[in-house]
Amino acid sequence: MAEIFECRNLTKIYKSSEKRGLENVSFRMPSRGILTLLGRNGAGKTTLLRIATTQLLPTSGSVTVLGLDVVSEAKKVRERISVLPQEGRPFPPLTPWDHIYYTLLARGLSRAEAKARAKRVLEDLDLVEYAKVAADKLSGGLRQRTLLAMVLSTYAELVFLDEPTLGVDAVTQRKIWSLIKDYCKKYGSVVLTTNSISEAEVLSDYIVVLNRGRVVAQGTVDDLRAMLPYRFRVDVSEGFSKEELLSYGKVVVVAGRMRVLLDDEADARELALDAVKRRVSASVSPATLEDIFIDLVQEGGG
Amino acid sequence: MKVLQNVKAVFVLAYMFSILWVVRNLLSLIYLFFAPFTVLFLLYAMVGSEVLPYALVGAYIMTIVQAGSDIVGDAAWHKLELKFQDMMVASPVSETAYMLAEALSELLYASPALLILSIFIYQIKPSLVTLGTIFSITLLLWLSTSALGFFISTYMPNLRNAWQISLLLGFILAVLPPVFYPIEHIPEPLLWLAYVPPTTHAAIILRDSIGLTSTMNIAYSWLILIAYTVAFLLLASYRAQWREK
Repeated sequence: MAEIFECRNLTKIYKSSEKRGLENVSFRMPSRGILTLLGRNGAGKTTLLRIATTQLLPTSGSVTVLGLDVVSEAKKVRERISVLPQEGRPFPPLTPWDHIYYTLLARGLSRAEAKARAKRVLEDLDLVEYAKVAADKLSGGLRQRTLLAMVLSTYAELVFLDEPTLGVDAVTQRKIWSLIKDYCKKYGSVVLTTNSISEAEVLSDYIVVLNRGRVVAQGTVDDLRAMLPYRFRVDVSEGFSKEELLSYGKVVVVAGRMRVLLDDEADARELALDAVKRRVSASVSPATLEDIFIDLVQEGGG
Repeated sequence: MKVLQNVKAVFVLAYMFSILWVVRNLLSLIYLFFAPFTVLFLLYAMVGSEVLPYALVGAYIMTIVQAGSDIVGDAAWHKLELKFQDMMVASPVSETAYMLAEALSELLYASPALLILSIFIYQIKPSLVTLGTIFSITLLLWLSTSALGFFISTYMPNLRNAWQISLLLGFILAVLPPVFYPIEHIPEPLLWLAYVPPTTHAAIILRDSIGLTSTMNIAYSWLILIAYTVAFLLLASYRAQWREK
């Protein structure tokens, strides 16, 4: 059976700037699910997504989507995918209903089917009360939901979502996460890009971490957790010099606080007790995907 | 996607870009009426009714050119700001269907102004030839300028200059050439230059149909206009940048 999404030695060098957008990227998504391209801004996520959705040509290497080559079989690929571009905007005077209904008609659906799907997706995304409101009167979050509704109503076999929760509030973010999961169960696979670790952690069956155009890690959330040689983290605000903390483990600075990553539980306790003796606050917790991400992108020179 | 589905996509998207846009935002109509009718009014007010046939032909051609050149800005806006073209590229809607939808939307948008102007032109010399000429010129000029406009829009790296390019294209095609005035007004050394734009030939043909004859052979003008249309359509179909390099 064909892979859902696969990149082989994919490299992209922009002609205008000679800048390397992607370098020798390889990974595969063998079965239906949600694949997340995780990385900092400028890591190459959108470049990769634009190549996969037939909008940008690769310099070398290959990408297959649903078993089809995105360069030589672009037309066939386009018939089976749908994409939410990053920072897209709806047409200012048109309503969410206009956007969803007419793009479904343009994709070849009958009026009845387009109407039914538009109604359903408006309900799913809590857009019913805004269905007839001009897009330029909607908030940024509602506009983003409108664009997302246009994509999720296509029921394409594979949808690409470039930062789908950009600019939406926390409640809506969770609603969108549940819709994406639901889409994957009912209709097809999802490839999304994000720089939000929590989003990647909640949604992903498979994560590809990109840094400066290269894959620095890939696997399931558990696979990535297992990659980190530290099980615990201790956050201390003050009272220790970096040199003192380095004797316990790896030290990273997060928002002005020192974070020590260590593997030995006894060492973690000792450091916490030492903090108490010095009358400074410290907190001990298990290492998270965020620690792995920061570790990876910093190791990668990011 | 089948051919019929793509034809449907052309009409649906064109409706979305133009009629639905105007229905939701009626004031946008002013923009299209503004330029051709302003020139028409000024010429009539300053020179008098004797220039009216020339002014009407000029305003008609200017409106079609504006519809074509506006694609530079509109298609670039749809692509670069709204990212709507990105959504459509990754869909069963073909590239040609999308391009035709953009072009048709501009024509629909311009159609009220074109209808009024064509009625005035027809009144000068009511005949089937006039009607046929108006229709043919509209079709050829719309296809050629739209194809050129769309081709240019796909190479726009940013939106900052798209509207300026659109205005410049309109100026080069509808203001500089002998569209509002007879080609005989051009000084002899520059005459060859006046024959270059397709709009010169569209104006010569349209004026000829209402009795304003020219020294130029009409058959040549038809051939040149058809050749431009084919060339610009081929350019847009095969050289428009659908995938960035």
